[in-house]
Amino acid sequence: MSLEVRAAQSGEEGLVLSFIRKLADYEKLSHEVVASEADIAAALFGAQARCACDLAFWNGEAAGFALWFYNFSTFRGKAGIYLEDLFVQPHWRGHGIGKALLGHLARRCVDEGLPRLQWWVLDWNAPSIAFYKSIGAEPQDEWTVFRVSGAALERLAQA
Amino acid sequence: MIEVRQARPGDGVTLHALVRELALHHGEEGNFRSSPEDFEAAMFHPQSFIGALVATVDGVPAGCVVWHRSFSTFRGRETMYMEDLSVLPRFRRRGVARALLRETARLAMTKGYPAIAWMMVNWNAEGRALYEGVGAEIEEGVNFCRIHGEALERLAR
Repeated sequence: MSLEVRAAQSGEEGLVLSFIRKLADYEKLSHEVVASEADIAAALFGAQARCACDLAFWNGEAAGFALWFYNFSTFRGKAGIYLEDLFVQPHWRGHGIGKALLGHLARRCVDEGLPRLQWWVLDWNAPSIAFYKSIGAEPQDEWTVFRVSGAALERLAQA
Repeated sequence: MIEVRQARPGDGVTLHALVRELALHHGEEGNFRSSPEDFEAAMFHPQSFIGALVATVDGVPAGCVVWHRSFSTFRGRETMYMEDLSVLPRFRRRGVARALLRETARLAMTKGYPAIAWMMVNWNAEGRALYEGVGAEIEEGVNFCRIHGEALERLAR
């Protein structure tokens, strides 16, 4: 039994996109996935790459991923890590793969002097919330998330 | 007169003071540990993923937005995340926040970002009214998670 976590490499954008689609399926949001392999390749490996991705392999088989980017806390005056997606293949759950992916990011935070690792979780996702609590994270429901997009964004820009 | 402009080198002191006011408003003074130099260092270089807008009223700094480039894996596109929107108390109720939001939206459109997202504490009724008034939608059912301090170090081991 072996578990390896390493950075995704150019050429693995198809694998990453397949994980993104599986995550969306789990979140019942498949209809929202319009990203292409080229989009993911540009975001991860392009000249203006904004994101990074870690892949987990269980006995050599791709088992999960964590896609993340740096954010910035104006209160701390420091960058942090924002975890956009975390996913482990259903048949590989219970082997500590999710924890290994998060631990990998936590080590990066400590090594780079970043005070915070942050993400969002859907409130119906009880197994994930229980898992996050078990590692010392605290899902907080005192925040409201807003989004403006599409026609509303255009109207606001023209107001 | 309200004017909104992009932050430029030398604005670190102004931005720091404006965001500090936000920390005070939220009773978070104890958690406000940044310096003006932190803002300068993070924003004003070619590889920066952070930006800011400064609103002035008759030339006096009155408010700001600090944002960073974000990414939606579902859309496959960069989006905008608004980290802070702050207006000094004596300049409130004059449309400064609305002017900042409008300029943030224009910036997003210019840069080709399809969405702007942000978080707000639930008790901020004024903020909610403002944001709903400009057409923002609440993402229901999303909980915010953060790991820091000792828990982060434990997880790293």
